[in-house]
Amino acid sequence: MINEFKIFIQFVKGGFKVALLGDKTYHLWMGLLTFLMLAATFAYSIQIKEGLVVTGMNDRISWGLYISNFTFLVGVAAAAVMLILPTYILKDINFKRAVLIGEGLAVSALLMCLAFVVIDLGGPARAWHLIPIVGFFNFPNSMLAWDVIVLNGYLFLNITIPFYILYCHFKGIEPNKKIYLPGVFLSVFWAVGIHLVTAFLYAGLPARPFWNSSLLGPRFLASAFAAGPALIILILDFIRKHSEFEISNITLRKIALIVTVSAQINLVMLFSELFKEFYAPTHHSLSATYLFFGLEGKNSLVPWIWTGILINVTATIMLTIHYIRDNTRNLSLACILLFIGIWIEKGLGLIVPGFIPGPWGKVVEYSPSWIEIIITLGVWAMGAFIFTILTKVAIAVETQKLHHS
Amino acid sequence: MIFDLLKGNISIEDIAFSNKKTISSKGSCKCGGDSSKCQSNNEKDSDEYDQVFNKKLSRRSAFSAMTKSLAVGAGLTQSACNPFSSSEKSEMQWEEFFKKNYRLMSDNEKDQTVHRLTSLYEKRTGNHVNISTDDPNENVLYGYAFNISQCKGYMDCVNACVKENNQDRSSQMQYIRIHEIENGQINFEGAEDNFYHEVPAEGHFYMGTQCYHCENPPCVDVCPVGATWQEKDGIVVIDYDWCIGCRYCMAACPYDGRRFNWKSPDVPESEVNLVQHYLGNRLRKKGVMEKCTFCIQRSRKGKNPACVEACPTGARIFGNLLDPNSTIRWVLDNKKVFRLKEDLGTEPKFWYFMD
Amino acid sequence: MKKNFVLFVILLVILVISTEIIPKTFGSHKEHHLLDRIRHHQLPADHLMFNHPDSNLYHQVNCDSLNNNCFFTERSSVLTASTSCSNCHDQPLELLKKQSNSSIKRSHWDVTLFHADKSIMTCTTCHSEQNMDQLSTLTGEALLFDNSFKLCAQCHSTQYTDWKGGAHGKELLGWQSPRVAKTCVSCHNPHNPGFPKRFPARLNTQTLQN
Repeated sequence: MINEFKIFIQFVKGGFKVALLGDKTYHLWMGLLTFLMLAATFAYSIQIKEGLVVTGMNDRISWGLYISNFTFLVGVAAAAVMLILPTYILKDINFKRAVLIGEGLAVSALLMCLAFVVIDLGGPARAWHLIPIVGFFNFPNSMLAWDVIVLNGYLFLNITIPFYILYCHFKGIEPNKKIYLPGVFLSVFWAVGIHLVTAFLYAGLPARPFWNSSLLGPRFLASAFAAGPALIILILDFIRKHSEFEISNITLRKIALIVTVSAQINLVMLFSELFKEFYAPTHHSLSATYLFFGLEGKNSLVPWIWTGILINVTATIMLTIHYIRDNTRNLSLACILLFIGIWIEKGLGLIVPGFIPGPWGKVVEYSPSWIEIIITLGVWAMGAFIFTILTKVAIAVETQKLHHS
Repeated sequence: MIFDLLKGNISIEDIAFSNKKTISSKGSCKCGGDSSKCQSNNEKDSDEYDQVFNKKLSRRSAFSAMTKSLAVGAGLTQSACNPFSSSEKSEMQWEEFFKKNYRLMSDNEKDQTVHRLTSLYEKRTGNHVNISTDDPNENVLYGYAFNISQCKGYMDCVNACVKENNQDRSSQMQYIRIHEIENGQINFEGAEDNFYHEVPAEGHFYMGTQCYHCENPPCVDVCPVGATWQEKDGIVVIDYDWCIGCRYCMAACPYDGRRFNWKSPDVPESEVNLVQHYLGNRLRKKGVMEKCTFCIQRSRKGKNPACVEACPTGARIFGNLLDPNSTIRWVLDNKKVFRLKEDLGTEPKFWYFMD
Repeated sequence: MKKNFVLFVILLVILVISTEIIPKTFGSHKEHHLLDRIRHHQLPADHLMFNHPDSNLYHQVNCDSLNNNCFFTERSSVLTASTSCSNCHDQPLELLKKQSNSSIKRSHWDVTLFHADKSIMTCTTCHSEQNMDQLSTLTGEALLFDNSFKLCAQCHSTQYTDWKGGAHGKELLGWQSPRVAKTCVSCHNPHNPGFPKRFPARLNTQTLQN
């Protein structure tokens, strides 16, 4: 027992070392992230003191930049499953190396999601009211209650399973399939679950016709499985260029195939939604009209969404054409475009138009305040920070640099 | 290694920038004894930088310094959060923070929280406030009717509501909105609710909206902490101290019934209505939701809500839906009534009709 | 043989569930649930909770024989001045005008009728010259001032029905039945019953563009 504890301490100490040591670029990167996080902490302290009035939100548009990013990042977190599925269930060895990185991404994205939700609360100190028995947990009626359960459960799965595998590799032993495989199976379904539940948060509101569609859940899944693996491709490409971690071209190509198909399905769904809104527009189509064409002279989101769609379409076409997709540089460009495009259409391009026009027809525009932007950047920095540390440790273990002596 | 740090034999920098072997060798004193007795190498090799940043502390002084700063820090935090630091006040605030959801409270707990709230208010302002915890009356289900032909857009109801319910003045929070709609259709798209001209304006009619206290309230289902619920007499209420401010209910309401305190509400002390109900018009804080409560502090005592009382034309009708002799039942049975957004299935208890 | 039998039982179970159990459990429509609920509710006889209207201030109007729904209105003695009309009006109006110094303006000399037009309404439509302490109906019957609403009902029968039921007019006490309403003349000046335009009670500023 004590021996096990000693090995664990060794693992933690080694992990700290790996995380704290690095070359100048690494320190600059972490320093930049730390600066952003500190700036965000300061901005958040202002928000706590003055209230949410310091954001751009108001009674008409009660969810803004924070929830937009939350929605997008839940999708990124769910996408880690895309790598688990082939690795463990289809037994494709190629993906195995990428899975740990993917799960690290899932953890970072989930922590960012939880951070965004807490930051968006009007009374974060009262968040303990969510705890069952001690507080009042409105399960199963409230979709937010479901979301709390599934997100935390997914976080638990994505911390424990990779930790177990990494720790075994650290000790130099083979992880026991009987322990991690059930968890892996569960997390595949769970990942689909987290994103469907998040979609149901919006789709279950008949008060907001822009969201109240049966296609929202599937659309979320399609865009998540496009954006998440796209980011993973970019990260893996970066990792294999800057460390001894080997990832074959075949692995990247297979992930790229997943991204391509998901992006294509996403476009088909987008077309379906556009048809439904604009073929015979009703009162319920006003939100889409505002988003794509402007309403009553108010059109601040119009350039935003069209840029997003253009980027999406370009990226999808680039990915569809085989020889473009197989070239790593073009692939990276397509992935960056796709990631940004989906962030636009699933973030602000989804949340804000849901509130416009208001229940009695009022058209009010939204633009985030500086405090909102700084806090958002800080949360992204926090996610990148956590992800960098997790990845560095994982790579060190996998390349045998960090091992039990 | 941690014990070495606490003993003061090494500093943080030693751990970060060197490996284990050099640390253990630094721990021993050059003259052969242990380092606490040996002062020589400390002063000879150090410069100003070292004296500040690499100062070696003994364990005792390290602990005492840390405890002192912790106490000072805690004291500073305490006084920063509590400018009138009185222990009774802080105890009450502590208990207020950890109290339960109102609907789970026993009568005793309700009395206690009312006592705390009135004491804290009195300490703060010197005024005595009366917070009732009246339960719903038996055999009562409140309903509301609005006569479109008689509303002239005077907005006396809005003024009365704001005063009665202690709403935030600086953001001009109003539960009631009066919409000026052009003749020809009941279409809110072109409606104007920020008008200021002689009323009634030619070619227009007026409709007032507020929380409709639906029988099937979408806002109640979505609240993750159960801070909002429907009482037995049909009023949808909010426990302001339980709300965490996620604003999901605001997204779920199809009728713009709910208002959020984006900042601390500001009600001039002289205008505060001191006759309050725990679930009604007691003073709220920033970061919580609020809404029309059919003036629960009035209606549970048999009075009409402030808007009904204030309307000079009698366009607003309020009563007990379960009483067949009530005016609201007469209206439902004899006038051509309708509700807004009927297709959403929310079953609002607010009907509109025309003469 | 056994396989077929099992399949048949499964099909039968599915049939029963889909045609009987599911529709009966989940298909019962909840439309008009609220209206059904309120109409079928039995209100106990001792239901009255709050105070009954004070008979000094309010008088009970003849109950509607159809639904036995009584309501109360303000006593005109509360509203009108204590002097009875016949103190001054002891002669026909024209004679009164000729008498004494007709250049002296007396009480309510300036009453002008802005109510319908002269083919429908004149002073004697409601006031009886013989007895100015009371009003008179279209058929000449005397009517107490307390019941002036019956005069209005002669032409405005729709509003009268609405007023009796509660869809028109202003409630004076609370929501508890019986109703206590203002009479017609409490809001509408019978000589000039219309309401002028006015400005709203509050100005909604730019902050309310939301």
